[in-house]
Amino acid sequence: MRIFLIDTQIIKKALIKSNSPRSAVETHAAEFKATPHNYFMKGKGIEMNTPDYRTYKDVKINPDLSGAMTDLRAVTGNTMDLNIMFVKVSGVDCAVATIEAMTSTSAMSELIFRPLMNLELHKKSNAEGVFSFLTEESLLAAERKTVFTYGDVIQYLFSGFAVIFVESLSKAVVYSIQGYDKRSVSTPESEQTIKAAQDSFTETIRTNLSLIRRRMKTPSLRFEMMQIGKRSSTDVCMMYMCDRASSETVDALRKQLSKIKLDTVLTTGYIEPFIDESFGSSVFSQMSYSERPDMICTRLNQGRICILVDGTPFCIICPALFAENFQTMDDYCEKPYYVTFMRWLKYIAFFLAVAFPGLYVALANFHPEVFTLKLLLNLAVSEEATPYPLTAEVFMLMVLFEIMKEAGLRLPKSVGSAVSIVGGLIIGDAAVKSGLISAPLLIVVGITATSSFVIPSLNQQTTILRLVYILVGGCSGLYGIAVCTLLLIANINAMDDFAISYTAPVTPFFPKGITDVISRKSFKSYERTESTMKEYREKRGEKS
Amino acid sequence: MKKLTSLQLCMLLICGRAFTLMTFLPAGSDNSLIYMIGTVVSTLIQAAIVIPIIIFQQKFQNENPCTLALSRSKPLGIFVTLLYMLYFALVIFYVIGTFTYFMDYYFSDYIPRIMIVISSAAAAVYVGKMNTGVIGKTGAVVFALFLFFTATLVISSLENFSTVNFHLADNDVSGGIWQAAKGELSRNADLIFLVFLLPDLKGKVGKSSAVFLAVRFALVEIIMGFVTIILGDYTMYSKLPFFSLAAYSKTSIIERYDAAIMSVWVMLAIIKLGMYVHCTARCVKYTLPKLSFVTSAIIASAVPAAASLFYLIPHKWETIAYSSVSSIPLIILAAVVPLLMILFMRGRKNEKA
Repeated sequence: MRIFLIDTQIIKKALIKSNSPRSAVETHAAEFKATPHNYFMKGKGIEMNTPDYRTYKDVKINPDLSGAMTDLRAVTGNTMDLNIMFVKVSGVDCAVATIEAMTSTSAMSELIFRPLMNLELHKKSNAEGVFSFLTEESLLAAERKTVFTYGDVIQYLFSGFAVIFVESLSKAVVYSIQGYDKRSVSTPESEQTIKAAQDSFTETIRTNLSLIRRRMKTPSLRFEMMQIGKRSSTDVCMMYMCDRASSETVDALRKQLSKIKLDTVLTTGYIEPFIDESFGSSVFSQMSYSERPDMICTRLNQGRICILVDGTPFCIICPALFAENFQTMDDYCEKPYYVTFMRWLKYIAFFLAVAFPGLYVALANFHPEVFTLKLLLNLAVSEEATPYPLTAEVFMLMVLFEIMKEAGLRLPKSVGSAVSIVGGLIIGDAAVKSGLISAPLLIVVGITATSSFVIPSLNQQTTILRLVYILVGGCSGLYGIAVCTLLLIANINAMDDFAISYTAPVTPFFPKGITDVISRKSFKSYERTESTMKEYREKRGEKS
Repeated sequence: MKKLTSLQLCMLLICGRAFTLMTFLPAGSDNSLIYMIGTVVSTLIQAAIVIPIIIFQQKFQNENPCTLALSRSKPLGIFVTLLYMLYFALVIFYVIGTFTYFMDYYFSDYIPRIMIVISSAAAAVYVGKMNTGVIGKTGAVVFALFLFFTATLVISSLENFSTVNFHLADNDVSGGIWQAAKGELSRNADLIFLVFLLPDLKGKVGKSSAVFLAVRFALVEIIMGFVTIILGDYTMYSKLPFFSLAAYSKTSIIERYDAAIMSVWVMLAIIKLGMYVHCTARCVKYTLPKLSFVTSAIIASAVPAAASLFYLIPHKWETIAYSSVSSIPLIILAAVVPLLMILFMRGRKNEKA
């Protein structure tokens, strides 16, 4: 390991010369800025190694306070948002480092500065005494840690902590007094419910953790925080219930997360390919997302492992099951018979969203004998007037629908609704009247589009599969659709990350869980039998 | 790791049988009731074939005849493996050819035969490169679809039921029963999976066999019964009685069911082909271990598919499609080879002792 030595004498002389510690530090920082990695002290002929942004991580804190501050400025490149304040605490030189707008100024003045300024240590008024007061004899903030390296200092500093350095000590103490601006907890946008809770995750991981913890007051709920991203050092929290989740799955996931070597982790999507084994080979994903704390609590109770990433208001659930895409939190607020009906409605909607236009094309082109005579005649009359082949017509219309959907999604809400009116009503009506498309086709596309909104979590898959089915159905009729469906079923069945089959509890068949797929169990039966991931693994003959 | 449950293996076998049931009914007799009685005899023969497999599993635990022979003697192992590989390849050749022939003849004159062969062979590679558990799970879903469509078909044809169609009017009843039993036996080539997939099986092969034989028997009898009740003697004259029934039945929403039934038939064909491609690829791997499994699967599918084209393109498949298939290779590989191994090879426990 490379050891960096700083000539503290040189810095001290510079301090005496300028009569101002701040300006000396700034002078050094300016010099460092000119030759950041390895610079020479002017006129001294001594080579001086100062930690820089590439080599600071394991370097121990300089016991000389001014030297430490020089190092800190050198490492951060004298960044403008770094604030360093020198104070005397009970006669001992100290420095408080913070990052602008990351800390709460009121908390800092009330919780840090006021107690420190009033501190008078009579018996042992030295550096160790002050440090002992900071770390052992006071409670200045909710979270406090002692750090020894610049790596830790930078990590905490940029997370909004205040770092207090004490003269002649090669360690510092960090206090949690974060006060950066954050979005408050609001209603969920993508998973709206009627009767269930109306709060959702925000971009702040600590807030999100509190939303979960306050719902699950059990000590078996574990949060494991880790930093991922070589440059971003993003806080990533793995959550699980130690008595529900499989310990092998937890270990495997922890290992996979620790192997991620990305520079930055800015959303949950960055880490998904690293933990989803079938990410590149499967149409569907065995990781699902939720922005609802209540949904996460349900999944945790079933033995899933959930991952929160700082800066993202969505939580990853792994492993996820296919059938769960058709379940919402409202299901647990309604009568079981109604929920059962709704669930089957969603299955039908999924089928329509994926296969309806493809089937229409296949049947109309190659198997018209399936239609009843009246329907067949109606279709034939409508299609006869249109200029393009049916397959091209349906494909173009579906692509147009996707364009309008995308436009409506990215634009502001007020303009988005205008797009749907112009696109859906005006263009659609005009296209039928001008004879470009047939009216039955517009009905097919309308039904498909509406059905696709029923299961938003499968939006990506339904969009692509729908187009594939149109092409396959248009080229080879029901033969192509059947082959395509079989390959899709095989593809879904092949997904078994963490020894849990994506299609469970249907295949492999798990009687205890199947009732929640074809209907909704009553809470009395949940009381008796809540199926967990552990049981699915055991069903497969895997250890838990 | 063992991947295949007893139920999944059973589903695979039934999928294979359902495909054959829907494809073509070699009469042996032109009386469907006699065919149904012949099925009873055939089921008893199949139960007898299964007995050596059950003893084989008890004695050699997680081995199949190929792995067992390879572990004892390489030349013997390669010989046994080649026997099985040849059988699987022949079945792929027959299934892909028959499937393409009937597909082209009855349904899709809009797709060239070569395209059906290429697409089904490619789909079979995709399915075959997966592990048996995945194929088993896929088979279970397809079988559920098959049951659903069959039930719909039967319900929509209820008004045409006539029990008069059941009769035993035939010149040679006992001969007809024996011919039907032989014909029915030859249509159960998939029994070979019971012995070949033993290393993958989680449970006892006896359970899979018993469930398979019972379900297969019920399936054949019920479907044949319904087809006969509705179509009468026409059943045995029709090349595809199941599809004839589908074309015959209608509801106020769907005019004909044959297109829907065809979709399920295609899925069953791909599952069956995929399973045979998987087994052939394994045999290729046993003999050429350095080859990747995907390459083995491609070879296993491409060679029989290419061979079938030599008969399909010049329209000569009729000679193969309507000719009777011998059950002797099946009996040798599913019963005789395991029996010989039981008699002349010692189990692992005895070896250690």
